[in-house]
Amino acid sequence: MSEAALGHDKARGADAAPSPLPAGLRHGPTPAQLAWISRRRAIYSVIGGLALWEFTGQFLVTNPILFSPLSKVLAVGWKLLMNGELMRHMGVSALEFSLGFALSAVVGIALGFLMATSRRTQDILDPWVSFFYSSPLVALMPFFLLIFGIGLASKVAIVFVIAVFPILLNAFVGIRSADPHLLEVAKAFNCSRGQIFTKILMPAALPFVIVGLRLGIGRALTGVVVGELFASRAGVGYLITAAGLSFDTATVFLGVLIFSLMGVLLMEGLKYLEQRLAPWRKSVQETH
Amino acid sequence: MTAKLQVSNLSKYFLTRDGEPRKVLDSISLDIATNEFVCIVGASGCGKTTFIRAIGGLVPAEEGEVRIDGKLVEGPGGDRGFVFQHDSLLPWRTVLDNVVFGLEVRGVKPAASHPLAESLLKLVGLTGFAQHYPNELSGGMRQRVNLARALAIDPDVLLMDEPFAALDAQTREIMQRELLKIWAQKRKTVLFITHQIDEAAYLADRVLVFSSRPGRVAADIAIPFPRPRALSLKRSPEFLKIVDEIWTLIEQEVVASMQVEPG
Ligand SMILES: Nc1ncnc2c1ncn2[C@@H]1O[C@H](COP(=O)(O)OP(=O)(O)OP(=O)(O)O)[C@@H](O)[C@H]1O
Ligand SMILES: [Mg+2]
Repeated sequence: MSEAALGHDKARGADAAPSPLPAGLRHGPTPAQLAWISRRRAIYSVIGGLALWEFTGQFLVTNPILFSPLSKVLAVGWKLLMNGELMRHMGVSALEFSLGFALSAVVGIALGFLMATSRRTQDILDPWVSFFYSSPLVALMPFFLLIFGIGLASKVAIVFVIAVFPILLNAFVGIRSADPHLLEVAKAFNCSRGQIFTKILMPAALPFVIVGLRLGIGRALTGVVVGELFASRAGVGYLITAAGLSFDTATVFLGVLIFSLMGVLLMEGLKYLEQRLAPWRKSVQETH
Repeated sequence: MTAKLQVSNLSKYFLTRDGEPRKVLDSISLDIATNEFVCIVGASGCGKTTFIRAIGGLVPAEEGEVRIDGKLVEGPGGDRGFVFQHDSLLPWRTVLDNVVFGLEVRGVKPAASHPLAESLLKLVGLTGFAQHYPNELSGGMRQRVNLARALAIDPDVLLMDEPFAALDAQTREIMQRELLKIWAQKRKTVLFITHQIDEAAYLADRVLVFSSRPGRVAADIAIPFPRPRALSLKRSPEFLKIVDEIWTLIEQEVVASMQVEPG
């Protein structure tokens, strides 16, 4: 460093407080601070929304059939929790969801991968996938009730049918979107077909598969609700229907709240899974 | 010296959209000696990538043949290591896992491949980056990883397709010097493709000039400078004279290539 530069530094140091950071970096919040600011806003927003809910129920719409404040919903929730009803209904819904979603994930990913790697399978399945992907499959519920009955099987069927197509389609697109340059690399290094699949195609498809699963979760939850609304003897959807028929709005709200929280929780779980399985997608933001 | 790589009468056709065959490589013949460093220069689209892919066994050639140590090339093999023109690291693998890729494919266990990869990372100047992901590296660093990955399978022949094309001028010069150092140490036969005549003249024992489409060997120029070569060689009058010679040779080809109609 030249003397002139040193002198300049010293002159600056006299009026500005000494800092280890270069001048240009000193201003503005750090990424960690920014993240905290975002989180704080989100928390305020939620608290504000809950307060508005409570306020509306207490003072604006006091008719209990038309609306129900948060406190009352929580009270009902507590009562049902204590007498074991809530756990019973949630258990039934969770089972329907898990079986249906797991089935759609396995079948969807497998068929999607198969379609993407086998021309013949694609040609055969393509018209059906396009057809079913865009049709309102919830309308099949009465049919499932007829063949599978009122119990678990018909719910699993409806969850499976409406969740499987977005999962399948995204798995398919994921494999297809693998960079041809990377496939050439695999070829140059003499990869077998199996190795190309596991070392190139599968990791390339992973982000798409996660998106498919996310869409699938949303649809599967809808499937549980629809299935139970049509005909059932237990489940959170059943709870909602029964409460609605007896004008018990607080319980209706409770049921919807439970489904929403379940959705949020599952999405967060998926986000966590993605970070574990695909750390390379985050690494830039984290290290810089 | 024996020929490491022998190409005889290699021709390659592609089908145009109307299904007409179009020649992109026109009966190319050349011999490359063991440990020789050969550069190919030529106008864009003259078939350089196609040529090196044919040698790598990534595309079949319709006519002619490629032999390595007298053995007919029928597909990709461990005797050739490829460094690609485009960014070709696997984004979901760390630097270390990218370098061991070729070994992993052959079933080499991490216990054996990791120490080797570490030593190659040291060779290319990336010690300490083993656990980084490609998107955390600069373009120059990524091409170093690419080189290390090709070296990991210990090939006899290195096939390099414009590996430094995407780098800025300074990084490029440094990489050229590093490459020569590594080449002197590892003793490989190198076929290196580039657009830049000065890059070719600095690196190579021999520069081949490709004609515009269909690609043919239009000239074969020996580069006499002794090794090791300092980067300052590029500023010497003798060097500039050779660059000028090559440039004159390919000038017509470049002009011709700009008049090629698509198809
Ligand atoms: N798969 C393909 N199908 C049809 N034509 C192709 C194919 N690959 C390359 N070509 C044509 O072959 C010619 C040579 O292409 P190639 O990529 O080998 O050129 P290149 O010399 O490497 O060019 P550049 O310097 O721009 O990388 C081009 O005209 C290109 O359009
Ligand atoms: Mg090329």
